[in-house]
Amino acid sequence: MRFWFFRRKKKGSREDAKKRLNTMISTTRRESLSMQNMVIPKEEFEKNSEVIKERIASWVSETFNVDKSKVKVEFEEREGHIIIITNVLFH
Amino acid sequence: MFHERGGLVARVIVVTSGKGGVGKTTVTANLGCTLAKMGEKVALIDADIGLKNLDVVLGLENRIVYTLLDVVQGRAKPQEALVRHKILRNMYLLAASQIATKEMVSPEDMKNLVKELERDFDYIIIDSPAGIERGFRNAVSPAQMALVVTTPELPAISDADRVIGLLENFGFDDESIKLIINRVKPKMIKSGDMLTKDDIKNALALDVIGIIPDSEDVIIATNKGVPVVLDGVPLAATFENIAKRLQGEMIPVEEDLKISESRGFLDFLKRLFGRRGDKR
Repeated sequence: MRFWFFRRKKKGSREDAKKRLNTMISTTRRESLSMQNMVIPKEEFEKNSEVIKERIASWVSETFNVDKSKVKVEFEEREGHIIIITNVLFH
Repeated sequence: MFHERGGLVARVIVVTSGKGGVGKTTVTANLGCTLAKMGEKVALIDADIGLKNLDVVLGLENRIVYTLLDVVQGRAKPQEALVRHKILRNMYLLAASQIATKEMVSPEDMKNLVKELERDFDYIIIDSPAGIERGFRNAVSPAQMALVVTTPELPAISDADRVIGLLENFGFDDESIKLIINRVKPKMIKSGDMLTKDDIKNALALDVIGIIPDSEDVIIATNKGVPVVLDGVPLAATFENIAKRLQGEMIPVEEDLKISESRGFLDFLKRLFGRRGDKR
C-alpha cells in the first residue's frame, strides 16, 4: 500500500515540452522563410545587374574550377521578384 | 442600411492559426461581438469555404441567403449578402459557401470584396481556414493585421510558427502579427504541466494580445448559437480586454487569466443557480 506522502512529486511535463518546442522551432524556424529583410529595391538591382552577373560568374568559376565561359547567369522576373538562375556546364 | 463614414476605412484583421481546431472561429465570433458591443460597426467574413462554421457559432445559419461565392461570382452585391446579427444590430456576417471549394475564390477577389466593404465598417474580421494553402492566402491577402491563434500544445505552436513565417513573407511585420493563446488551463500551468504565456511568446518571438482560459461555457454557448460574450459569462471580460488592446489600450495580458482564477464561492453559487434557471 502506498501513501500519498510517500509518493515522489511527479516532474511537470512543461520542461519536456519547452525543450521539444525549442528543438522543433529551431529546425523549422521561420527565419528560413522570412525574406522581408533581404529584399533589395528593383532599381538598385537594375543599376547593378551586370556587376551582379559578373561577380556570380567569377565566384562560380573559381569555386568549381570551371571556365567562366561555361557559367551562364540569367535573370527572370516571377511574381514581382527577380530570380537569378545560374547554369554551370560540367562535362 | 450602410452609410458612408466620412472617408474612414475599416481595420481589416485576419484570424488564422495553421492548425485546425484551435478556436479561430470562436475567437472571430466573440471578438466581433465584443467590438460591436463596444459600439464599433463590424463585418465578419467567413473565408473557410467548404467547411464554414462562423454562421453556426453566431446562430445565423438559417438566415443565410447569399454567400461569399455569390458575391465573388457576381450574383449578389457584398451589402446584399451580409446578414445582420440578431442581437447586435451593428454586426454583420458574410457567410462562406458549403458547396464551393477554396480554389473558386482568389486573393484578388478577397481584396476587391474588402475594398467594397471597407468604407461601411470600423472593423472587418476574416476567419481563415486551417492550413497554409489557397484558403489561407485568400483570407490573409486583404488584411492589415493578423491574429494568430494557438493553444499551449506543441503541434499548434509549431504550426503557428510556420504561419507566422508565411505572414512575414506576405509583408506583415512584427507589429501587425499578434498571438492569442487559447484554451489555457491555469491549474495545469501551476502544476508545471502546461507551457506558459512566456514560453510561447519566447518561442514565437511575438507579442501576445490575449490569453483565453479553457472554458466549458464556449461549448454551451455554441450549442445555443449565442457567442460566449453574449451569454453573460466571465470569459466575456477576456474578449473585452483583447478588444481594448486592439483599440490601443494598455492592459497587461496577465489580467486575462485573473478572470478565470477570480471565480470564488459566490460566483460558483451564482453560476449554479443561474444555470438551473436557464432553459437549454
